[in-house]
Amino acid sequence: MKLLIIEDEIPLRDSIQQYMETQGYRCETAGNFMEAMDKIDFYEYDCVLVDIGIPMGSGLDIVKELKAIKSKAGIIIISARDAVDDKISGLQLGSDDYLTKPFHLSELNARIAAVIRRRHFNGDEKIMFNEIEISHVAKSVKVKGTSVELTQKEFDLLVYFINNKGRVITKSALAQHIWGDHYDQVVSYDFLYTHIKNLRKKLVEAGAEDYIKTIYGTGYKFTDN
Amino acid sequence: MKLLTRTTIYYLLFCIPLLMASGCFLYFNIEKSLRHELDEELQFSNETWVRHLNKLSGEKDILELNNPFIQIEKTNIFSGQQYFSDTLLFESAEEQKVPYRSLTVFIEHNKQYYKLSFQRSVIEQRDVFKNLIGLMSIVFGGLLLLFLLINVYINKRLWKPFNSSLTKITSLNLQQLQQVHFDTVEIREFNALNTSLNAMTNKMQADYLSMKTFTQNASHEIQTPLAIIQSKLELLLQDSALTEQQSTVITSAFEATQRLSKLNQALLLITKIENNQFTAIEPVSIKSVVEKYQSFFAELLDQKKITVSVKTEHDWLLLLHPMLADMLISNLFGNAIRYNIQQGEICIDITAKSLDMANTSNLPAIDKTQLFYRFAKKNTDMGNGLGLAIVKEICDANKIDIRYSASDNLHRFKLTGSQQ
Repeated sequence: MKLLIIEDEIPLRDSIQQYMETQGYRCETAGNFMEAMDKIDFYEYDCVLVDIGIPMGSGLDIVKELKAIKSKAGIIIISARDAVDDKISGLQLGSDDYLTKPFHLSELNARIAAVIRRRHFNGDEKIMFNEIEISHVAKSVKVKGTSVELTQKEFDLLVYFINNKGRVITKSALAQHIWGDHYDQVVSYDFLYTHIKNLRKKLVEAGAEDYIKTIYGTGYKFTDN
Repeated sequence: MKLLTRTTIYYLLFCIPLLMASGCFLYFNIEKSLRHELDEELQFSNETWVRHLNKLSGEKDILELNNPFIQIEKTNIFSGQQYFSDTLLFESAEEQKVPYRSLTVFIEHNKQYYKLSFQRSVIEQRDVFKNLIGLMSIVFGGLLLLFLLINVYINKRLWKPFNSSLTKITSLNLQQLQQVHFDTVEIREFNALNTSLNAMTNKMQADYLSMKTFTQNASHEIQTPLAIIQSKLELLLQDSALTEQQSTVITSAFEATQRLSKLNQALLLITKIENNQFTAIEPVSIKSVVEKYQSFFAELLDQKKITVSVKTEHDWLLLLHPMLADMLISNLFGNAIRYNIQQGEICIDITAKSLDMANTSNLPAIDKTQLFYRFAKKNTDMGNGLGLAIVKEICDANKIDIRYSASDNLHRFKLTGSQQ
């Protein structure tokens, strides 16, 4: 899977690249409009991350160009502007998702995975992690072939964990993923603990190994070693 | 009072002394010339009579000539003078004394002196006066009518550009400034006004845009370094060599950047609401927003075992940007849960024009002067202290009246719409 990261802030671009490469993506980068245009015209990508405010042009024009050349790449806009206008125009132009800075790298990773899945597998990709099998279309989870009944939030958490397998995921990233922008109304992470506890219990009871490791004070890690 | 009505009144008020002065002038002039004419006439008839008398011979003949217009009597005194005098004589036709002008002359005829008096009735001053008053009233009435007609005309034609500019100003909206243009007109003053208005609206629009750009740039400038810090910390957390203590330190820093970012976003949001950067396109159903958050907060409600009762006689269809509607309800609802007690209650009452949200709480009533004040929170672990400030801004910008009251451990917020 190949990514193009169009972002002029080098430290941020490096962070994204570093995180995504450990997730198994091949990453290329562009720091300005011209460079980005050259790359999208010459190479094929599975997903393009576009910052709107870049030197020598606007990220929105890159989205337009990608649409014009009928690129198969998924498009995710990453912007510091949370202006509703930007969001609407970005999505109207045909970007698949919009992420406001600052964001969690784990969240970006989950979004990229979702966009690629929708684009390349018509959403019908089955995610496998050892004995766990997830079908997005059926919203079902099987452990060693046996169905496990999960709530919507537990399902979302599991998908998020598997997409970010082997990485430390902060509590706030999980809370924001599950409850969206209003996650700060949730006040405490008690609810998160409850959901994760239930998820672990259900998976273990179905015969899966306990892959969810608690990182004290920080969050969780989904790993099989 | 309309400007034209006021000017008309002034014109008419100034007309009154003018008309009075011209009336007096006319009166005295007319009377003077009338008297002059009368005297000339008397003089003329005197001369005619004297010529006639000189042709007569007998004394008897002369005295026989007595008639209402001429009195002749014999006299012993002779005075070569002649004089005019005013007198009142009884007139049977009018049954009252009326003023007469008379001329008295003395003549000598056959060694006998005679005194001759000629009389002519004078046109009464009162009649002149009456006529003049009548005339002046007609003039005044005519002027009034004329002014009114001119007013209508002026209002329709001359003041048209002014009125159209006025309409434009009153309906001025910062977000639609670029659509406002005051046209060039023929009248110099209105043109000057329109030119200044154009300059002013252009300036306002430029300021508004620069402020808007500044707001967005400020967000950009602050969010980007925050994004860098956050991503670096997140990468650092991936290091498997980290001790538990180190992880905790990094996580604290990570959480702090999150808070900073939320705070920045909230402050920018308030500025944007103040700048009216959210334009509502269609009404939102407050009932469905409340329902949305009731299910969104379901877990929180369950945890505290809070009973929610929603009473909706009518849905409140409020013209509000959907994002602001979400923010308004989520903040109020969130607070109602956050400051509630275990097994507490939340009562929501929605009518066609209002929303009433009451929650049980054992916290003291909020100080009304501090209620909507930014960062006025007392308790550091609850929210960022901007929730109610945002609520207040949304209400102010959208003509919603918000009231808070607290009694018997029941805190109540009431929103009332005043939109058309």
